[in-house]
Amino acid sequence: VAVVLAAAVAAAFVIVRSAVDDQNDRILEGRTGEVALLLKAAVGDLSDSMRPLGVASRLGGPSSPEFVEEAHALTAAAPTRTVALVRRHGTRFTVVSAAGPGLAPGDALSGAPAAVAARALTSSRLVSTPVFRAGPQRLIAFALGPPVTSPGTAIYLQVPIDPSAAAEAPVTQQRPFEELAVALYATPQVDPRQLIVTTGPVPRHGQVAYRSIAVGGRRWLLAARARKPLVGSFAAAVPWITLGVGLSSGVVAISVILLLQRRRDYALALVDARTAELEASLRELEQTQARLVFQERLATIGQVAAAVGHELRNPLGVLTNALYLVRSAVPDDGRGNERLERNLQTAEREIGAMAVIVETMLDFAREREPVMEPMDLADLVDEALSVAPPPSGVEVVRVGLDEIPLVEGDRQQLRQVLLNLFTNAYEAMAGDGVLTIEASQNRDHLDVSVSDTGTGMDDETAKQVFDPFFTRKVKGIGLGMAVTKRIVEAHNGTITTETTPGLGTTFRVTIPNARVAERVRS
Amino acid sequence: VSDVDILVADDEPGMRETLVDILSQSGYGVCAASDGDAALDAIRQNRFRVVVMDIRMPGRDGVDVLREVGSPPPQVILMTAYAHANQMREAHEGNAFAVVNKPFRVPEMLDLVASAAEAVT
Repeated sequence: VAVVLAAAVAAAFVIVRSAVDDQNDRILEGRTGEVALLLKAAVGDLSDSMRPLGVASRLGGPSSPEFVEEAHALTAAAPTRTVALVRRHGTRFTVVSAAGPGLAPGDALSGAPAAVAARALTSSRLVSTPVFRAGPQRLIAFALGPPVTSPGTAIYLQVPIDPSAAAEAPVTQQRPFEELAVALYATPQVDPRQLIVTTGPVPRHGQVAYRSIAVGGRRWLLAARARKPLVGSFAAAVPWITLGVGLSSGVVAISVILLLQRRRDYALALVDARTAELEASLRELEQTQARLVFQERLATIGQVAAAVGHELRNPLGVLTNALYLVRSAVPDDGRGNERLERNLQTAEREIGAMAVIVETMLDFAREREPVMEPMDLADLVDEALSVAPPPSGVEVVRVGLDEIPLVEGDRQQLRQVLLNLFTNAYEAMAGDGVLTIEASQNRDHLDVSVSDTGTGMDDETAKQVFDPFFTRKVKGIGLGMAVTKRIVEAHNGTITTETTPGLGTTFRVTIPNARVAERVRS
Repeated sequence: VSDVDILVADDEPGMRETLVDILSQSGYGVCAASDGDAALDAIRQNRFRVVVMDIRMPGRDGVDVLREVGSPPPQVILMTAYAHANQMREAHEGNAFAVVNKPFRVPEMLDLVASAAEAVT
């Protein structure tokens, strides 16, 4: 857009400028013609003013009162001029009579003055010299010979040339000289040495009009240049105005476009940001809702588990007692009571299993805020491994545990978490594989991961693994991982799973701000 | 003063009867009560060495009875199927000899009773 605008403005500028220049040229040509006519008339005047002198000299002689009167009249108007009557003697010219400075009767002419006088004798018209030097002065001379004068004589007029003085005092008040800077050369081409008069700075560059004028048998050159635009200052300014207006409207247009574009970008960015915020809020709401629903469900399940657990404790106690009594009623005489003994053991074992189930349910139901205390994670892992020792086919690998500084948490609850993760892993490996316990602690959080090389889980199972009463095991009521998750969340942590069917599962527990403050450690 | 050493108080007949049988079989003189009020009456009329009592009973509960036993007090072993935090704290503050969760292992209970009985003499 900027390039197109600039090109259009430049083109408009060039077109308008050439039109204005064209107009200016035409006017300049016209004015220069006028000046040339004026000059011609002036030269004609000069010839006319010299003519009476010639007539007076011819009729009254060079010393006649008429000639002297006319000569003084001519020099009085311009005291720097010199007028003389010259006569030829062979090839030389001598002054017969003179008025004005520089020449006196008896003086001989030489150089350009002599040459112009000689030409005047053979020409019937006014003739002139080029500009010539006489001492410090630059002069131009005119001569008029027969038939105006008597044969062998000529009227000689010399005028000092001082272009700068002429420039200060305009030659004429006529309009062409106001508008034009004019230079008049006594030669047909530009020659500073032949400069007769200028009305301003010598026109040399730019729009200069030249006109050749015939003066006294020679060709003079008139050079003219407009002092100010002839078409008028407004017309002359039009190209620049066009350029200025074009450029500034271009700048304005581009600024407006840029501004609009920036606003649009800003608005779009704002919309994006708001949309992202809304989406984030929505996601958060959905997660919160899901969590609330889940917690509600957990609470309900917890109430049921507590009620059932407590109600079962009494009958279990009665059964235990009764079995004890039965066993003590059986005589221990070693005679044929094996079957009874076996069934008693079965009953005791199953009552024990029931007791474990009841305790798990009560663990789940018992909501307890974690009681924070500093502890050594490696110790806690050792303790959990001794409570739930790995089956003989399972190798335990510990990574990074010993580098973990003291951490803060509920010892009882975190031990429960480790126990649940370990027993879960043992069962997934069916007694054969590698259990990897890896821990790392950074500034913000503690990471503990428990990996097995067991059967892994499919997506469906992985999704439900933390749900209460979800289990794939033949035994167990599916509360272990639900309890684990609740404990981790009570520590403001998260638990995630990575699993590949056939390769194994990793449970990763992340607990924020688990590092014990310096004062506690010291 | 009777030769009855131990009072068993539980509103649950199964628990009460099996405990009475177990303790009798172990050689103690055993008396039984089926609620807190009856237990308190029995304690006031006899000099038991040990009282094995459920916490949750109709009328006075085990903790109330513990609070009201006169002097010289018998050693009281409280049993509970509900680990209620308040009652557990009161039980300990009322100088119960032990608080036992149901179900318990019978040999462990017998050991507790034996040491409680010794603590009296």
